[in-house]
Amino acid sequence: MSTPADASVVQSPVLSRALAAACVAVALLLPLGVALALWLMPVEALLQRLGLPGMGVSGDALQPWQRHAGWLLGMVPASCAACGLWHARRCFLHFARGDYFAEAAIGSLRGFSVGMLAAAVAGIVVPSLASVVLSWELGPGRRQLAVAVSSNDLLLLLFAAVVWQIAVAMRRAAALAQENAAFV
Amino acid sequence: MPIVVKLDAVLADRKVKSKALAEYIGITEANLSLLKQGKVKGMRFGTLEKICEYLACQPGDILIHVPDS
Repeated sequence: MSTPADASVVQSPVLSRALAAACVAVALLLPLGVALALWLMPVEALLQRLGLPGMGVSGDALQPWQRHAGWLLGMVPASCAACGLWHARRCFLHFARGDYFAEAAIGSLRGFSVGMLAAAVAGIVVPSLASVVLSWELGPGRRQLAVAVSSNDLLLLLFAAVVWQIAVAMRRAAALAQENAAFV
Repeated sequence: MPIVVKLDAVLADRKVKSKALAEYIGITEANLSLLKQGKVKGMRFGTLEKICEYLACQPGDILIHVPDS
């Protein structure tokens, strides 16, 4: 449902389309870039990036299943973020058409927040799982479970929660707008 | 609904066209048509005021309460 709005507060359709295109570009490039980096990056550098330095794991000692599992785990946060960005793209396309309070636009905004929430949670959980997987072959007593929480993960979690709340508020606003439209 | 809109009758009585009234109120003819058919949830006081002003009538001439039988 479209509702008339003050021109000063309505976002330009060009900007919305540009943001939608940016979302597509990032949604496609992010998983590809992460996949490539995980494949090419030395294990030591990867552990450093995961915030798990000094685990005593070397790339040569890793079994193929550990490499594959580590690669798959590393892909989870980027994939979640890409899904969220895909929803954001749909949301921006609705905004470009002026459908600010359309059910589909609000659903897409909620989808974006869910994707980001999943990416944030995965960003906290994945390093822990990766530490277990990568140290598994070290044998009993030397296996490790590392827990790392960065401020970026927490900020992303907070950001996703805020967007979720905005989507909830927009749904309520849409219901009010619909009710208001029924009055002449 | 027990509230019946008698706008059609008042318009005919005053020989006023819907288009002219809609223009005066500042709503579309489609919305005025919905109002005449009682297919709206409610009417704003501003709309009611304009209708009464234009048709020189009272709200009770337009809206009638008919209890459900």
